[in-house]
Amino acid sequence: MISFLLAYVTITLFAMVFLGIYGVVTRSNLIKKIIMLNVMGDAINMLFILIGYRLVFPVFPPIYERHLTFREFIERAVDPVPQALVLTAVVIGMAMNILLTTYAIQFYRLHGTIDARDIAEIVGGEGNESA
Amino acid sequence: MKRDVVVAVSFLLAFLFIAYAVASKNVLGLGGTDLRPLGEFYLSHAFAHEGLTSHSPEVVTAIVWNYRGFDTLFETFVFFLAIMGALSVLRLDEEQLKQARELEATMPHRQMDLIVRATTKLVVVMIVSISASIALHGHLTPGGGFQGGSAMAVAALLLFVAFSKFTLERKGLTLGHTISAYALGLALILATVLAPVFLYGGRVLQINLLPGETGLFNLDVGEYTAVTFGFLTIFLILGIPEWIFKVVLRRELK
Amino acid sequence: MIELHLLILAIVVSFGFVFSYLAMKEHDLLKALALSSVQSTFFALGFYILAAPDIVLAYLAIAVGAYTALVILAISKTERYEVGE
Repeated sequence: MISFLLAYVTITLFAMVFLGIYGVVTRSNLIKKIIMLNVMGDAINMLFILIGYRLVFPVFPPIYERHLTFREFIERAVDPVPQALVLTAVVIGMAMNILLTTYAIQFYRLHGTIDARDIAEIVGGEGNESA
Repeated sequence: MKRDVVVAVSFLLAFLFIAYAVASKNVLGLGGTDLRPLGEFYLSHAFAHEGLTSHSPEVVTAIVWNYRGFDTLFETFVFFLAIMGALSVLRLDEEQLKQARELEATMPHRQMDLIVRATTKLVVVMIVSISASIALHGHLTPGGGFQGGSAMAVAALLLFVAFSKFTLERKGLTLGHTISAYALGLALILATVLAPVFLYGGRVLQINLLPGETGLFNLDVGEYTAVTFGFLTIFLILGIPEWIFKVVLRRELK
Repeated sequence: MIELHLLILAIVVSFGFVFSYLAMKEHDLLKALALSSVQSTFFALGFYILAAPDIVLAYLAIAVGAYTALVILAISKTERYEVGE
């Protein structure tokens, strides 16, 4: 039962990563691409914290409280290293979102459309003209 | 249409392969019952140890600011670069800001009802005090600089919605003030990072040399100020309506 | 009791997946954003089950507060409806 539930959670999270990538590739509106990129980032963050989880029963977060003995704390607490990495990743994801939305707004001002295919036609280059 | 089908089928095959590898062969090492050695080192050395201790019972804050402090320092730098990048694309210089404010003054300002305004005043005071508690107790309870900063940015957004942005700017929350406060937060972080070199003769970011828990506390306060006013800068420059931008920028072209 | 924690986590992640699929299929961008922030709330609950309290605070304030406001401002300056199949 435990291994089935853990496999189910892992497979659903990977499916969400692929759903995010599929949304970025297929949809042509720039803001929809930004929303799907965030869906992918959230799923990867949760997968990271799931790596550090321990399957013991009274599971503690990694904060030392005074009523615990030291032995108990080491036997029951969760791994703190993935949580520190995910904290950095969340803030950097927000910084990336600020820049992406600013550039999307500037694209709309310059070209009058927010569809990625129309912008590719207007900007030019090889192979971007539709027949 | 055909390209969509090819993309979907290839993603499905890749997904099935990765799902089989992780769930059946346990490639990532999920669901164990014992700690990895690095996690055990950090958990046992963070609070009260004779060796490389960090004097804080909150192990995640100790890792983020003390054991892996350079990661957080450069992540603050990345956040600063993002805000500067957004400001350089959406920029308005002094005279254009004045024109924008004159044009905003001609719009009909709709404040919300009396009930919404009175409740917002109470709720904003509570949110500001809770966010300060989260940030200043960052080395003892869950929390820290970023969490407190983003909560206070949410309080400022609530004020934007209930009263209007024009009212807040008339009371003194202008773009110049938020940029100055942001720079003050970053200066506090830089001072705490460089203090062990100039005052105690150690290396950069060796905050164990500072007395007691001052190192982590100052870093939390600096990050709290920096993140709050960083978010406020972005929301102030993006909150100007679009027709005002078009009028002001069209005047620049002439 | 370990099964209970994992069962709640499985339910929460399933709801997150369903809401993110609905957000992809939606053509009105404001509704897609609202569905995306519901998915973020479910994921914050999942982070709490996985014993990570720092991440809950940071993630809830950023993904439901600052990020949603940023994208609403971006949608108000560009178009609201997505054109296409």
